[in-house]
Amino acid sequence: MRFLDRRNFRIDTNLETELLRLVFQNVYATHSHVEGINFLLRGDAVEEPGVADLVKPILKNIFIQIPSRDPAALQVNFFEKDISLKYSIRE
Amino acid sequence: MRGIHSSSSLYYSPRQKCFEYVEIRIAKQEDHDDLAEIFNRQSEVLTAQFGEFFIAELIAYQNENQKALVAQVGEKAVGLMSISKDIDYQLLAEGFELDQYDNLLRSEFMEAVKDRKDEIVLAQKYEEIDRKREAQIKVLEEKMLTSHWGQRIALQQHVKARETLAKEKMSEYLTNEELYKTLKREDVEQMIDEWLAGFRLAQPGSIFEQEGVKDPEVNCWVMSERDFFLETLTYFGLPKDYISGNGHWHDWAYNKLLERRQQLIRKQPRAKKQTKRSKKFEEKKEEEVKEPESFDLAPLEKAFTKFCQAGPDVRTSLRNIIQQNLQKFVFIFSNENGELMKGRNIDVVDLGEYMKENQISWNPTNWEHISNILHCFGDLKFNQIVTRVMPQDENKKREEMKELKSKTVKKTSAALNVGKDKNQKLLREPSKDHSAQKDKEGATGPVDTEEAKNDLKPPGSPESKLMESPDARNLLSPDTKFTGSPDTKLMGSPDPAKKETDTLVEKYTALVRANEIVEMFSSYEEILEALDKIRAFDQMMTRLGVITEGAAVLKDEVEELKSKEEVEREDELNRRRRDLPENEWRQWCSELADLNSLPMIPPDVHNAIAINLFCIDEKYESRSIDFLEYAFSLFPERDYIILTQPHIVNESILLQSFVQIPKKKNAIFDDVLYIFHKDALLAPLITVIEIILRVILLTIFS
Repeated sequence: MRFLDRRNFRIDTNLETELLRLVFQNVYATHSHVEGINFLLRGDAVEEPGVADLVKPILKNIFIQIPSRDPAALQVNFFEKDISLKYSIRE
Repeated sequence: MRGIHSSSSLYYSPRQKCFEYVEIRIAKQEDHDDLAEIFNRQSEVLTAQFGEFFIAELIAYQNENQKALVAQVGEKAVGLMSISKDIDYQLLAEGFELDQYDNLLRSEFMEAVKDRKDEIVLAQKYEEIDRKREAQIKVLEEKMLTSHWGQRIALQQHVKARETLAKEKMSEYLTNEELYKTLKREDVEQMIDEWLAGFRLAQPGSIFEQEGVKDPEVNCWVMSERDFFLETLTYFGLPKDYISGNGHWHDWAYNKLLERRQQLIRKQPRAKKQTKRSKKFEEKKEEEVKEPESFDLAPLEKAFTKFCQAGPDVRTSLRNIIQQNLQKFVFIFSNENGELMKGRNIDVVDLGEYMKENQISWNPTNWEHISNILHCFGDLKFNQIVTRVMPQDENKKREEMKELKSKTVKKTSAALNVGKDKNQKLLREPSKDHSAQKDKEGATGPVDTEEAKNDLKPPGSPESKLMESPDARNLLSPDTKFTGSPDTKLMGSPDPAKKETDTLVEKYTALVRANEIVEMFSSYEEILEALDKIRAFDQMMTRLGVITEGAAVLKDEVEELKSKEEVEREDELNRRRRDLPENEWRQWCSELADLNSLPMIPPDVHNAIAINLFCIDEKYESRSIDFLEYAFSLFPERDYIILTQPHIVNESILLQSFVQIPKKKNAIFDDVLYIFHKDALLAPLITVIEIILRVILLTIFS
């Protein structure tokens, strides 16, 4: 999901929220089994100037923040770490 | 890449944040107005078709088989689904390819149905196998019955039943000389026809056409029963073309000679004068030797007697005696070391002699039938060897034979000196049967060159049989030339009358020597093959009831065979039985008789509910599937929910989760069928997602 620069489009926070809600409704209508939508806010993006003001109002209206248990784990290189998918075949 | 920033955070937006919660519940009367508004908006057809209050009726008449569900958002009903358990499963099974969905019935029931259909298929398959087998047996029976050998057995059984009558009739002529002189061919033909009354040559039946059998060995009979009778008797010594006069009075001259000789020996010889009287006497002698003009019944009587004697009892006894003495029998075909020589052949006419020499004991009266039986009933294969012995070569041949004989006697032991060498055959004397067989084969007859020295022995001796042979019969034919050297065996008397007799004997003997030696050699395998054929035909004819009287051993053999076949049949039936797991519906399905229909379906095995009516506000159409979960919760024993709609109607969002079932060929059901299995509700839970993201989220934020 990418956010628009509403300052360029002259869209206020409420309208932007409502537009996003409509988009989400469309997603839910199209995929009836979808129960929710996740959004990962990257720390390096937040550190850039203006981004937090741009994104956080919307996140606050529609999203719920999930608390992090181990922030240090985010720095793990997932592609080098031995991560295997545990699965079984249903007979 | 070194992970992500440590101050990153995850946000989650649940559906309810953007989408109103749709609650599914049982419909109530107060939902009517909300639902009527939606219905009228979407379709006026329903109201026109079912009436103004059909929604109210649907809601009001709910029972354990029929329910009405409502989708509610806030305080307002936004959708309705009417479901029912009343489904015509037979109609659906006839119209749609529902086999892989167990025809929307309980799997246990369908397993019982499937087992029953498998049984029907197997039963049809086994029925076809049994039918083909029976047809094959029938074809084999017909083939054997209509063959030469089967018909010879049938003929034998027929004439054996009239043997006494036939012999009495022939005896009337043979014992009454005056009556005998009046016997003509027509009389004999009539006599034979009387014996054969009721006997018909069996023609191949329609089974060969029905089964499409193209067997070159199966032929129709075009000869008459009388011709077949006479042809069969040729195996037992009846001359070929006997009915036309061939081979008649062949021993007449011989018998007359013997009679005359006896008379001369008894009377005192008188001086012979060449007077008119003596000339008349000479002419009279010639007339006596000339054969009578009446029909000769003796060959027929002899062949007929032999044919009747070679019955199923004798044939079975022959088979068994060889089977019981197989080691001794093999010895006949063995070399000096007792090893069976496959290439060794013997003259079958002498087989009885060989068997006797090898201590194989049998009824003495039956030995003479061996050759006839093997040829007539066993179709014995043989190599025919013809040796011509001309009168002028007699002395040379005699010396050769003498030399060979002396060599052979030195070389071979008593047990092995028979049938081992083709040359040895020339040293043995042929028997009656041999002559008969040779005549059957159209040869002029077997005459041993060595035996020619000893011709005209008293009747009953092997030598005398030469004269009774069909070959000797031909000696008196008009074409025969009286040439050759006289034999001296009977010429010891100086009596002039006897000299005259001996002159005739001389002529006779010369002709005997001038004939051919025809021998039929068969190997061990060929003889066993013939015996097998005799066994097969005798057993088959007993089964078919052609052989009815006597032959107790044969009947025992057949009974034993039948009991073996019954045991094999039972084993096969046991192998066909299937051990199936217990199923409470097996008995129910046992009356199913065809593969295309279902048995009567008990309510306990119904496994589907049907959507009779469905309507929802377009805004909440994406939540249509929420009805299904609730519907299954109302009827937890059902696994399928189905919906039928005309093919011209567009698929709703609800139907996107359903499976459309293809129609069967020639189906008369117009609507399209959609089905949904309860387990499909779990489909979102097994959706494949991107593994890395999933791992990240679970690791950090769970």
